[in-house]
Amino acid sequence: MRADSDNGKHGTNVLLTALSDPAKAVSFTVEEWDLLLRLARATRLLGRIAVCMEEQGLLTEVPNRVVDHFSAAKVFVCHRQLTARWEINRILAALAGTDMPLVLLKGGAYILAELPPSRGRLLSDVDLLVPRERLDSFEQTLLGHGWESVKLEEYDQRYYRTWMHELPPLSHPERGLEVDIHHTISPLTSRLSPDSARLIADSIPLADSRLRILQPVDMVLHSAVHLFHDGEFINGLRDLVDLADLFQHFGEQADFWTKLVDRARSQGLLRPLFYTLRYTNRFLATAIPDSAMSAAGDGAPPGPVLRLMDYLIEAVMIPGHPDFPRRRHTVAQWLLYVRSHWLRMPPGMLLQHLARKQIMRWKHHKVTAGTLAQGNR
Amino acid sequence: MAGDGIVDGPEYIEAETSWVAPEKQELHWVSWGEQHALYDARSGETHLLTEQTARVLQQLVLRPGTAREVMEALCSESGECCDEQSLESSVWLLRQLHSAGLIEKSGT
Amino acid sequence: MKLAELPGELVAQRLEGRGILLQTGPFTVRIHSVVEGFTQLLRRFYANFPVVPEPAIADFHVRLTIPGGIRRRWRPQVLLLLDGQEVFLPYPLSHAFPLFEWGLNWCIAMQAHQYLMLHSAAVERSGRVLLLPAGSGSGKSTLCAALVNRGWRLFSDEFSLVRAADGHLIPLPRPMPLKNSSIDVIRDFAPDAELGPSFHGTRKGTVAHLGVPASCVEQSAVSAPPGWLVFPSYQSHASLRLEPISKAQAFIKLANNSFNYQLLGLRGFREASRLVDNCDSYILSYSNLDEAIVSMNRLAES
Repeated sequence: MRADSDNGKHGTNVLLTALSDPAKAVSFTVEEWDLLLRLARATRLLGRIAVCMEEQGLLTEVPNRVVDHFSAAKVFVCHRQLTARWEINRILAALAGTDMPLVLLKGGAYILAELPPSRGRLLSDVDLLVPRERLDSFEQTLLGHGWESVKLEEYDQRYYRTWMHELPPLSHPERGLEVDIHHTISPLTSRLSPDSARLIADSIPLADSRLRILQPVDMVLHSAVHLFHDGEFINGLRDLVDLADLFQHFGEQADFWTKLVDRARSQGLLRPLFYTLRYTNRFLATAIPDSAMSAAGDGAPPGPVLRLMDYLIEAVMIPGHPDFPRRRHTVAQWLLYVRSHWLRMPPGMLLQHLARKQIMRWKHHKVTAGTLAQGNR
Repeated sequence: MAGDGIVDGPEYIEAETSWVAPEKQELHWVSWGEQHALYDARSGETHLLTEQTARVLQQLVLRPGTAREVMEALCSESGECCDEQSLESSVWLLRQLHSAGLIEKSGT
Repeated sequence: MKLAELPGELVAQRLEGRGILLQTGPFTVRIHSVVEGFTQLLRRFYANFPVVPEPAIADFHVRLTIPGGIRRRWRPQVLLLLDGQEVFLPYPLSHAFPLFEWGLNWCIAMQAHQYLMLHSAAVERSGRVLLLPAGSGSGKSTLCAALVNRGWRLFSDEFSLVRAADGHLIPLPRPMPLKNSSIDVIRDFAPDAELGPSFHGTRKGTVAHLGVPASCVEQSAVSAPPGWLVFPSYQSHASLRLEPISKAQAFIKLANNSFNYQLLGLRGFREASRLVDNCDSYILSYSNLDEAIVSMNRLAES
């Protein structure tokens, strides 16, 4: 094994190669397969790679030991997806007789709408968008049917309700899956505030008309905002893969790209869109039309900021070699977290909030990583 | 009480509630004599059912219905006689199946 | 090549460097360690286990390190990293070996979902496997250790792995951890058995490991179909009772003693019911090991 930076690059190549072009993985050496399993598991993308390789009929060319790991990862994925579908089923049962419009977001949307990002996708909660004026009655309905509010300190309760774009999560004690109810996709105090009534009005019904998903351009922008503004990069690469899939899938529609840029511009979301196009193209070889790339370029930050972001995003999203952990990852993660809160909150509040959250934040990360690894335990 | 002509007693209303079960292919059964294990592919839950509960559920899978309709179908099949007690136990079994998430009221 | 065939200094060197690849049952484990005491115990308990030639794909990467800091001087500790992740809190340095064993169990339980995994001992005789599903404190490890020292082949004392394709059990021979009073019981029962040092004050009390007979390690690749499901419980002063139970009862108990029954969904349901169909099922209460063994031997002969 050679120096740190080489190992970083080595790790980069193996995982990103398998994601962008699974057929190339077939010619991996034994060492590369060994590394891929570790990196894919750490970024929660093992199931995704397994499903894509199976779809392309490549499993017969993959070492048996790897196929076993693929099978095991798929077991996990299937269980999680089943759990999420059932939770949505139970929510619909609780809402019977009301005419509550329910828009699924993120993983739940991909799975129920059978979109490409659903392939091998793990999800640990269900995200819903509900009109702001129906929020209280929705929460009350669920509470009345056995869901409970996840216990939070009073400070966090206030933070959630007033400043973040969701209620504190609910969960049903018989099942334990978290239900996150949003009434907008960006925090109210943010300088960016897309109009959620319009998101809901433009949403598309699924085969079961009680459920809706965001229209394609909104789905992309929501995912982009979540990735580049929420400050949580635990699933950074996975979220980027989702976006790459959406670009590939919707990108074939004639007016998708112009509509995407226009929508981003009108909602003040050109910057996250710019980052999304840049990094899906750079890391996952996603084909982005030149016109879209240059139009989104209007949202690019100044040169020095962009160079810093390139460095930070790569440090945080692309895992290095597991035997040679890079210190810069932690620093980068912290910087991006600070940045995300600067975007959300008035400056005066920021310091107070960060001071309080610092200890809880890193504990949460460690517990989350461990819990996620444990699956349904 | 059902049977003395008062129409708004709780048992009477329950007896008239129409229930619907999952699709046949969503339910997987293993039976050992009169004991039945059931895997519900929608929820991922495994249930253990007595003979009577299993028959009630299977009847609903065949055709949605009320407690009374289910009872009558099972009675005619087995040749047992139908009385208020069978109706009460059907209502009770249906309530168990409902709280296990296996059946829903029609129109849900 | 077996681990015993590698010179001690080479083993220590490799553990500190690129790691040692060992095969245990179906799993290839890459082990890294800087802990001296651990090296000795690894060489002792895994002497007969195959070293996998490089390069190879490892199922698990396990690393024992020594965390830095002030504690290092007066209460040295060992930290286990499972594929780079800290999953457990640090242990006292002297407990590196039990930490390794528990850590490896954790990896298997969390990841090996290509198998239906039962929290169960498993031993084989006459080509069929006796499964002893039970939680901690039931005495299953003691009973398993005793059976292995009376001619039964060890498949596992903790994890039974059921292969989806044919419902066979897959051997996973590993050192058997005995707790507290079981240690003396087995020492009396099998004075010639390879019993390791006692580790005091662990989370599970005092723990000592029983080595795996070489013949069991040699037959690691030989699977076998299930024959009997016996749910054991040790009850002091109880007279022996082996009671048949219905398939439905066995199914419930089996599902409740599985690591991943729920996770496997429909597949878990099918594999568990197939297992129950293919086995005679019993509950066993006993206080005397010899009586319990006679009872199990009789099952194997019938």
